Amino acid sequence: MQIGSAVANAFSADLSVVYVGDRPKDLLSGGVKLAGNALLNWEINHPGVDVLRWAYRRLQDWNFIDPSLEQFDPTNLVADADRIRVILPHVHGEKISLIFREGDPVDQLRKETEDRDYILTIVGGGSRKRLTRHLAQFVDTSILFVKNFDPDWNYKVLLCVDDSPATKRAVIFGSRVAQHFKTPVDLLTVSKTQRFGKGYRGAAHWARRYLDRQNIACEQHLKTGDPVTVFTDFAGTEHILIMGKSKMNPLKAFIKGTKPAKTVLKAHGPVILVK
Amino acid sequence: MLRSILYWVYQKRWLLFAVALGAVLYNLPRPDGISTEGYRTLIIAVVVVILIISEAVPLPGIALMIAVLQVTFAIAGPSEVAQSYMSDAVFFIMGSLMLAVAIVRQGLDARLTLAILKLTGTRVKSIMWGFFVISMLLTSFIGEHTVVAMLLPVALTLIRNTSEDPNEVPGLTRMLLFALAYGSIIGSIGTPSGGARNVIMINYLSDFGLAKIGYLRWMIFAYPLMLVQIPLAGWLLSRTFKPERDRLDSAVHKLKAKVAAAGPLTGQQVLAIILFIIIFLAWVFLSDRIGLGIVALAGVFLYLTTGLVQWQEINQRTNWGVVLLFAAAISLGVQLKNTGAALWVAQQIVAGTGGLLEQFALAQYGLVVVFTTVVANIMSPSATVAMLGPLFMNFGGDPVLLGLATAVSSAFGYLMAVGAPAGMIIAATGLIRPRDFVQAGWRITLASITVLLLALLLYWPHIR
Repeated sequence: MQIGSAVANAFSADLSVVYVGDRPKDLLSGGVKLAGNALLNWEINHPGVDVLRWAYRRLQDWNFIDPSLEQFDPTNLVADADRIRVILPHVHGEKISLIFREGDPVDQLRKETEDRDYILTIVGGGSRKRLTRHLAQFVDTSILFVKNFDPDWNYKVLLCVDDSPATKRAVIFGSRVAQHFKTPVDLLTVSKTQRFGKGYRGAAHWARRYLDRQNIACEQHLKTGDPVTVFTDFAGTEHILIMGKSKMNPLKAFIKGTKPAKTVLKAHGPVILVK
Repeated sequence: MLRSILYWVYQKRWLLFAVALGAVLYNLPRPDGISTEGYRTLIIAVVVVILIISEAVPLPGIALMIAVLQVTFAIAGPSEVAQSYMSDAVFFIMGSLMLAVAIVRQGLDARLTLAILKLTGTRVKSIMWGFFVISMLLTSFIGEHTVVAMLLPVALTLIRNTSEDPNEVPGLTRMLLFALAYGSIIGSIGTPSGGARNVIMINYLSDFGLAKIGYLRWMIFAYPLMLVQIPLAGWLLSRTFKPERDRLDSAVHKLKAKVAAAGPLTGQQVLAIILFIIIFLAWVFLSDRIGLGIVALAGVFLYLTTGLVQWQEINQRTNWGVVLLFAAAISLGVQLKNTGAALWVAQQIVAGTGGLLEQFALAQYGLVVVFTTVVANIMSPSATVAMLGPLFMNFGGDPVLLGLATAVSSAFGYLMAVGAPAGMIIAATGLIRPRDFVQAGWRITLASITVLLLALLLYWPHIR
């Protein structure tokens, strides 16, 4: 949440906080809904609404929402087809959405990001193998996996550069993050062999020139070894690791996993996969 | 495009698996001793169980699939299938779901609260017993999810009056919520109106020409079991969770003040209670002649015509998909019996045990009770009875006792949230973890199984 609101500020972007809760089994959902309606008569909200209330208060704590403005009102709920939104009036409504969904996290995030112009999806965790792989593969936005995030730490940016098509977007994205947070950048290119091919050298050179034009302090590193291991060891806990999403054949990616997804699983800190 | 297809395949993997398995089984040679129709009905049953548990397809879709496959597999003609989708049991399921909406609408929870608190005082253990016993007694007549829906706000308000964050009083929270849930689960076996599964079994016994079990007769079989479990299960629950407080003086006081503000019983509430008493008496005295389902529908009619509930509210809050699915499951259960598939499976199981089931009644009853308990915790009680009932009634023992045992043991959904509506409702509060069910439920499961087995051996044969 904290890193999410900071990133939204950096990009002057609207922020949607989405809580995906467990969905009751269809066979038993009738009783759950009946109980839910009875609870509302006693002014007891669905636990999902309490989570959104907590999120609202945290956003006020971090000054993403003006603390002097009105309090969270659980009666301002709008039920869309498959989600519930909290309507935040006036300035809030344009900038912030609080959304509650129920079901499988990948499925719900996929539905949320489909046909809505989300640039970046921010999720906690990144240590559950199947969830991480499926989020990376099936959610059609850039994704920030927040792992072991320390809000007091002054992170550097580690840009992983190779000749994949998404690298350029990752560099542009990373440069904006670095500019906003005024942090230096490490550019890292890793080859499995002792040789760096033309594509790799070209990409590294392009990235360096781009960052120089943006007046962003950067240091270039060329290393050999297993890319996932080198990326994560280099990043440690001091860097936010930024790399492009994989363009591997979807079936191969589904069966074997991708380099970016494996990097997320092995990383010790936050990772952004840029679409 | 490929990514979207891949995603669809991943989402629907259980559907694809079920279809593939069904196709493989369809193309295998039919086993000896079972008719073509029976074998195909079994295949449908296997596919349906996978789909119900995995929810790969919406429930109404499964219900429609059952009808389509019965006709296309030449198991039964379209009119026969259509007729089998509607029975008194289906009327009862429909009626009880609608009655639940109508009753919860009346706001009688505040009255119940005052009644409970008057009896229990402010000691935590007494309040736990109060929830346990009251939910059990009420559920035995008006059904599990109705009672839990009414009493859950009371329990949660007490918990929140004790601590704003219920996670700071986990022992108290779990004790009260499980008292509510398990009391309801145990109570649901007491009368036919306690749960749809009871009515499904009554209908099976009647339609298969085995026995006519009326409302009071069911109570003679099941109510003593329910009463025996009160002290046993309540004691086990009190030993499982340790509340953080011994007394809830302040919390009870605040709750009493809140509900006292609701004022005395209104005319509408009095009418609602009277109507329910009429429905109950009709179940007891008229259901033998006109069926439990018709009485339930008549009750809904009365609530509608007196304006106690609006049709729009009933329509919105009734899960019609569940009604359709149970209709389909019952239809499938009837075909399992009519085609001989249930008998064939039962014979295979009996033969597979080397005569153990035939020689020892305890082995037979034990297998039925334990297997039904396990399946009900995974699938749902009513679907379990609809599909397994015809099978277990063919085990060679007394089919009536075996059928009743199936219905009663399908209620033992203590171990998982999906095992019973009451479990799902308390799980949906976000305050109960899956392992809490196992921690709370395994002892009560053993106790309930033991009580039922004792009844099967020592009590039921004498009143049969």
